[in-house]
Parts: sequence; structure tokens; C-alpha cells
Amino acid sequence: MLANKIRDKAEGVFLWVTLVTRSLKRGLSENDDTKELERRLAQTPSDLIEFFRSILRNIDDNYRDYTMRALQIAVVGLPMPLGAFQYVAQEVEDQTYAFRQEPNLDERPVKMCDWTTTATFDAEAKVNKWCRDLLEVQHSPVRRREWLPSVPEGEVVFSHRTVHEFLSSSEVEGLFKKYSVCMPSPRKAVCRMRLAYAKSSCSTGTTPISSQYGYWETNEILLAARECEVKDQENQWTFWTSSKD
Amino acid sequence: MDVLDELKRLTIAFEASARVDRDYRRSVLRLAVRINLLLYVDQLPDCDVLAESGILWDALLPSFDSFKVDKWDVGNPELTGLPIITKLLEKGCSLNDIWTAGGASHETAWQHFVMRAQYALTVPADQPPSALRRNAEQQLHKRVEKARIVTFLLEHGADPDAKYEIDDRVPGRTARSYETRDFLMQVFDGDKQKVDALRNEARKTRSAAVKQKQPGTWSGGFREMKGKSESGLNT
Repeated sequence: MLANKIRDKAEGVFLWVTLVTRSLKRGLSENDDTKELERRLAQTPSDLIEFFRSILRNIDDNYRDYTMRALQIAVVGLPMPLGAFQYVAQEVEDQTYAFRQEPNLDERPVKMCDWTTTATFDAEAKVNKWCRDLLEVQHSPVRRREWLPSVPEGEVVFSHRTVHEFLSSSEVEGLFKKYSVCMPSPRKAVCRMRLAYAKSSCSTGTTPISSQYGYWETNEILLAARECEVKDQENQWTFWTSSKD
Repeated sequence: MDVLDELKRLTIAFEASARVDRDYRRSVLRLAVRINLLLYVDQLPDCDVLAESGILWDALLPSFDSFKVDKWDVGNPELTGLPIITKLLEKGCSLNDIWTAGGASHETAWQHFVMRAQYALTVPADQPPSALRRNAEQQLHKRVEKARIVTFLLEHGADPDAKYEIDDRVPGRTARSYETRDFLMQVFDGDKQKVDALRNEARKTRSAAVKQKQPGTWSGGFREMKGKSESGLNT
């Protein structure tokens, strides 16, 4: 029954099916009965963009600041290591965190099998809580061989390219403005988050040097800084010229 | 900017802790120059920039060594280099300063540029040691092809009489000596008159700049020369 309804409503959009299935699974984990699941399905818009809108509308008020900041940063900064993305909370609370943090030079990496570290579990849970169905965490089997236990492992990506398009639209930009998260620049936030990540993952406990995680994060920080110089300067210029008009 | 200063401190702390060999240490400033972080370089004190011997190398050339190649080195269209070269010259860097590293002296940035550029112009297409290197050569080829960068450098203090050596990649043959004139003839399609005029003008500019030059800096001369530029560059 439910499957037929999903098929009819999906109109061939696979992403929509994926998102609805996730939503139903959440309902099941909360012990929803068939009627409640059906209602959940009926309330889900069949249009993808409308679906994304409904996700934003239904954000828990307690998380709204974090969600908005996370999505604003995601638009300019993804894909990003989960270890860097976890600093979204600090971006909202106190932006000096990256400078105050001590480099994690001495931690020893551990061999990874199929288990998830607490750090990874917690950081991934926050991505799911704040940016449910819009962003997701991907895990690469190659990177799981050896990892620092205190650093979340994985990469934050858009759940689909249409999410990026949606979040970059003027409609969502208006939402970001409404919730006062336009300033400071999300590109600067990306620089700080990547700096904090470099500090957290710069352990010298492994050899050779090429395997140092934090060391190679240098490139990413410099590229993020380049984005800041080029794009934020352009934006400032646009702002000033449009103000004059 | 604060982030990059902090990154510099982190890099130093990491390298000291990991005992990274001096030859393999990273300079945040050099990497910043390589990707044209103009505002960052601009706000640094001149003395910090001048302390990095041979920094103009990083502005003039794409990275040729595959093990050092980062993703922005190859095929990055933004790497036209001219704004950052101008900035470094304004800060007092000289195209003719000898690069010293690890107690050894190397060529000047200009000599190195000419050597690499001529090599890129003449390298046989079927002999690339690696795709990355070939890509870097092609990038430099494109840059030099326009001739304006060469004109710009000569107008801003490059030595028109510098000599350099290149290995022609011919088995069994040792490196050959060249003069800047050989390179210029190649860049300007054998236009002898143009090359000679350019070299004469460069010599005059250099001697004028040397007379005005403060000890240890080239910036006074550079600022004087800025208004004279004839290459039509928007830097």
C-alpha cells in the first residue's frame, strides 16, 4: 500500500523516493503506526524544491541558528571533512575558537576497522540533526584504515546537487538574511573551520610525512583564503556600487 | 589574514615536532604567493617578504617538480602572476637577487625564469618526463607566448644581459650556455630591432634605478619606473 503510494507520488524522481524513505524510517524508529506513516507521506510535498522548503520550515527552533549557519557555510564550503564541519557550533557561539585551540601534535592514530569513533558518531549526529536530508556524511573505506580517535572521520556533502542549487537561490539567501547569519562571511568561517581541523589533525604520530592529515590541510586553507580574497572582495564591490545606485 | 598567520605558526610547530627536513619545509608565504593571495601579501611588512629569499620564483613560475605540485599549480588560469609580481617588486624584491637556500646560492629569479621559459618554448613534445611537468611547461609557454610578461619584467629591473644554462635534453650533451638575447629573439620571433631596443631601454632603466636605489631595496627604483611602463599592463 505505502509502496504504491510512494511510487505514484514520486513521478520517477529517485531522490524524492530516497528522502521519503528516510523520513518514513525515522517515523518507524519513533514507533509510528501505519496511519501515522501514511499521514507523514501525505504531508510530504511531491515537488523536490517544495520538499526542501518544508525541511527548512520544519527546523526545530532550538537548532535554527546552527542549521542556518551550517547551510550558509555549506553553500561555499562543501565538500568538507566532517572534522572541519563539526566547528559549525563554534562559528555560532565564539569565532575565536580556531585561534585558541592547541595543535594536536601528540595523539597516536589507531587502526580502524568497522567501528565508528565517538567523535565521528557525535559529529555525524549533529549534521543529521541540523541539516537533515539536505547534507549527509560520506565515509571512505580507504580513509578508515588509520585515524585519530579524537577527529571525526568522513566528508560532508550535499545529499544531491539540487540541494546546492536550492540553497544558492535568492529565496534561501533571503532566509539567511532574515536569521541574521549573513555576517561575517561564510568563506571566512570556512577558513577558520579548516584551520581548527588542521590543528586537531596535525598529529606527528605517523610516518611518512605525506600521511599527516593536518599538514595537507594547508592547501585547503590557502584555497579557502583565496576564495575569501576574490569572492568577498567582489561582493563588497557589488554592495558598494549597488548602494550608490 | 589572521587565519594565515595562525597557519604559519601551526606549520612551524608541526615541522619542528615532526622534524621535517629543512629542504621539505613549507612556507605559507611562498604558497600564498603561488596562488596570488594579493591582499595577504600586501598587508605583510616588507621585511617579512624580503626575508624569504627567492620568493619571486614562486610568483614567476608554475611548479615544475611533480612531488611539490599542488592542485593549484597546474592549469590554474588565475596564475597570470603579474599582480603578485608587481606587489613583490613594490615591496622591494628584486628580479636580480640571487636565491640562497640551505647555504647554497642559486640563480636569480630572472635567470631562472628565462631558463625555464626557453626550455618550455623549445622542449620537444614527445619527451615529457611526466604529465604534470609537461602541463607546467605548457602553462609557462602560454605565459611567455604573449611576450608582455617578458617586456614587463625587463621594464621593471630584469637584467637584459644575464646568462643562463639549459640542458637541451639531448642524450650525451651537456648543458649549453645562453644569453638573455637568445631568449628574447625567440620570444619576439627574431625581431632584432625590437629586441635590441628593449634591451637598451632595460639597461637605461636599470642604471637609473641603481642610482636611486636605497641600500638593500629595489622598491624606490620600482616606484619611479611604474609610471614609465609601456607594456600596457593593468596591474
